[in-house]
Amino acid sequence: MSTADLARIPEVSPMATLQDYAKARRESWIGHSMRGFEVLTHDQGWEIMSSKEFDIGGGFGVVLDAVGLTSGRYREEWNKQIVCTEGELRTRMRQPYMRLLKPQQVAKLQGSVREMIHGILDEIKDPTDVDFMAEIAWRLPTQLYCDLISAPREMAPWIGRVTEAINPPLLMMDRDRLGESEAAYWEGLDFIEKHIDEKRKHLGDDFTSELIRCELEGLISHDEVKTVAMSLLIASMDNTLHQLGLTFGTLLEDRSRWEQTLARPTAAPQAAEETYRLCPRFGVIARHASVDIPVNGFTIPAGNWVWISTRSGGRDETKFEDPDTFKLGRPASRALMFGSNHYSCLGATLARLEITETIKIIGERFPNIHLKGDWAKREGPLVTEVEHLRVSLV
Amino acid sequence: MGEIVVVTREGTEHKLEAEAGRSVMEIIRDAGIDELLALCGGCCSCATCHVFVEEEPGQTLPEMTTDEDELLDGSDHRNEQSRLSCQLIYSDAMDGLCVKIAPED
Repeated sequence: MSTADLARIPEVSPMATLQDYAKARRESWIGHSMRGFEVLTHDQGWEIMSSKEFDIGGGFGVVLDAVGLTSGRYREEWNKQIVCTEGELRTRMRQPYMRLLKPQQVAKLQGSVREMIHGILDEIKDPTDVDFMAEIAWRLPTQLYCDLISAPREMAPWIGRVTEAINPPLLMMDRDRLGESEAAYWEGLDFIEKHIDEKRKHLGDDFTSELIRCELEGLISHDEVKTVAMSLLIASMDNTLHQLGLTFGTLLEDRSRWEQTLARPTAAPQAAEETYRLCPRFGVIARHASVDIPVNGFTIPAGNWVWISTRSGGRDETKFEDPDTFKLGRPASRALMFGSNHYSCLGATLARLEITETIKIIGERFPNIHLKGDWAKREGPLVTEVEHLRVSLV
Repeated sequence: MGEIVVVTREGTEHKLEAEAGRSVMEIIRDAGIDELLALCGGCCSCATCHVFVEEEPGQTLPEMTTDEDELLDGSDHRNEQSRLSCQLIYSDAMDGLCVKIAPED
């Protein structure tokens, strides 16, 4: 990449504001930053993340490197995870998930997810003053995880504590919490190993038993059962629960958005999709060029990272009319944050089900839900976390 | 305003008013027929709004995209009449269209 080529495209910080992104999009569909290239527009982002020419260059490893986790036993454990693997191994490890979390399978969970949400709402002590994250968002994915692996729901708080300690310090690139992340990982792995051993004695109708069946069918190895089970513990909860908070914060900060959501039976899933566009948990999706790859009149040089900005792509005025406005009934467009093809989010349908059903049920039972004060979120270079979100349900 | 006919899995027939520009999925869901799940709300990401279309002469359906085709491949019940109802944006050329909700996978 010559200096002249770089001069043609804007410099964009990984922590750019929406205004920064809008300004950069007026100059080009792609920018450059200290970490590589930043894709700013929706369709080019979708094209790159769907292209088989790009790889993930060791995947989550780039984040682990950046946070200082470059070697040692903990890093070796991470290197086995799906998010750090490529090629045939990655495809094989994705298969059990694709079998268990394909949309048609997830659809069967609708009844139990609804029952779980009703139970969570029934247990709220003071509906006039609810810590949405602690009393709703944290409880749903953790209880569902317990159901998925046939563990007692009473374990949900422990599961929540472990998963919160493993993943968020890495995603928020918080070096100070690396030790906390590692300690929680071993605690979680110890639980998973015992849980798998127990399940081997009595296979049932749950995720872990299905993984063991995959091993018996020769689809995955003995060790991979543990690794894939650990992936579910690591990845299935914190992203969903933060998106749940981001979705409700986005819907409730402007009353007209919530009113549109209540207006029609089909509105809940569409409203959720609009919030993924306006306020996505994942701010970027990463791809890597191992060879020179020409895209849209520009060549991504070999060895470079490409960061597809969902924050910018979701506001792309060439794709979305009046992009800063929450609007239902937009033409179909897939949310960038779930990724695409062989690197897509395996839990996307499950996350969508949890979020959509929560919107529907709160809409039915508590249509007057409103924010109590401001809500706060914190954007990192990779993800956005909800810091606090307090609501009244009545 | 036109009309579509929707047949549920149990065989009950519903005649629904159809407005141009809305998807067949939305028309079905807004009529309260919730056995069509449509988990992704119409962004062509989940295949839970699978229907069988009985196309009559003179009716013209939107072309199937690669995304829709790939998602339908994930269904055990796919046949030559399969479509995702979220991708069938109703137009006058579809007046009288009959769709049957596909079985659960």
